[in-house]
Amino acid sequence: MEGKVYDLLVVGAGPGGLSAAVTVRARAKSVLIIGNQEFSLKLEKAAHIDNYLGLPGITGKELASKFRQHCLQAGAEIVEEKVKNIYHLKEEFQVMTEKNNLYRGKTLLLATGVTTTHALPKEKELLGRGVSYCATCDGMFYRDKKVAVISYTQEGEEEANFLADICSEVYYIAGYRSEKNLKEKVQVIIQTPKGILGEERVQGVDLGEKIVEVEGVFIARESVPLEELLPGLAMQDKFIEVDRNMATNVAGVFAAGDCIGKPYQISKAVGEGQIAALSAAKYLEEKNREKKGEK
Amino acid sequence: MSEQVIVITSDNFEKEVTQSPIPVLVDFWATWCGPCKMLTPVIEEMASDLTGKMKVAKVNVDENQSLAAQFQVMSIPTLIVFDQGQPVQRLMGYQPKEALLDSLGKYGK
Repeated sequence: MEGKVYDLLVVGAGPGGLSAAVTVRARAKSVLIIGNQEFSLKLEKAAHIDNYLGLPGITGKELASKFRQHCLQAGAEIVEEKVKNIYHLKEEFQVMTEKNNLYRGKTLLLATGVTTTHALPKEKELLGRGVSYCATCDGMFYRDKKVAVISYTQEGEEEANFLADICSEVYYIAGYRSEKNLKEKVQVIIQTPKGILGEERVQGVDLGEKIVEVEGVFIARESVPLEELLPGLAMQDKFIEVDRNMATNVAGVFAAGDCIGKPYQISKAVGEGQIAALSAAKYLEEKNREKKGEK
Repeated sequence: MSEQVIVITSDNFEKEVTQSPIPVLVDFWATWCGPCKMLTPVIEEMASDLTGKMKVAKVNVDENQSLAAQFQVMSIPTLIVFDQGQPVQRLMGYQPKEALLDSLGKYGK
């Protein structure tokens, strides 16, 4: 297995993740931040921030750019890629992104912000039995069949257009309102899906008032539901469960910011990011001592 | 070593999988699939790790559509474990080697 093994991998480029990166660099640990641009979108969109200490009236955009600069100056590395999967191995964590890049780290910080996405009923059960997350991988299995793309993001349009050349009919069930760039063959439905239907195989999508009969359902989301990202991660409602050290129930995994609970405030995320980074540094040092002790 | 991963087609499926005296791990893949390509080196490593315990094989779904249809492969990569000719376990998507061996349970040991 190739690739650098970072001391800390941070998922999320918002205030919590960036603050953690600065702190962990001060402890001379290597850090990589993997951020979907959308994660810091909330901060960038804020017109005025009036309660961040010492910087009254600063715009979200300015603050985000200062945070980012500070991180880079401190020697953190940042990549802009959407995280698709996290693997927990014995001695390390591996984060796979949608570009199929694999990043390796000794510890992990989840600072994903609030994700509103949750799996649809029957989505998991029917995965590989009609449900897919990759049109280019699995489209060929649905040649001349009816399929639906359930999409919460514009990226889903590419998937639908790809499928339009292969499948007999393509329905595009859009969870967002902006203008769509779709081939003529694709039929747009603006409705929130209630769930996926089928027992052994996908039979359709439940839209509440009506059912769309299809054999394949492709799902495109802005972010993967948290509970699916790292199997075994303890949640409390929709938030990641942590202790006062920002440690989750998985050894070596920490969490900070909006993804661990309210209030959704920048200063809270920054503070939690710092605690999480110190905890991660301590964890790494303990591990190192254990290893030395073994020798 | 890569030569230990057996290439399965409709012609040798019966001999290499159905009649195999030991369990067989079959990787259904295609050239156009990114996660499949990532899985290739993992599968090759597993072949040498599991020598004698389990046979490791791969099926190109593009060239063997009937095999993919027969085992209802509708998403790739899909790994299917065959024991005494019967599909007994199914794993989907890329996973690192350690995670895969873990998921294989008694077959991975």
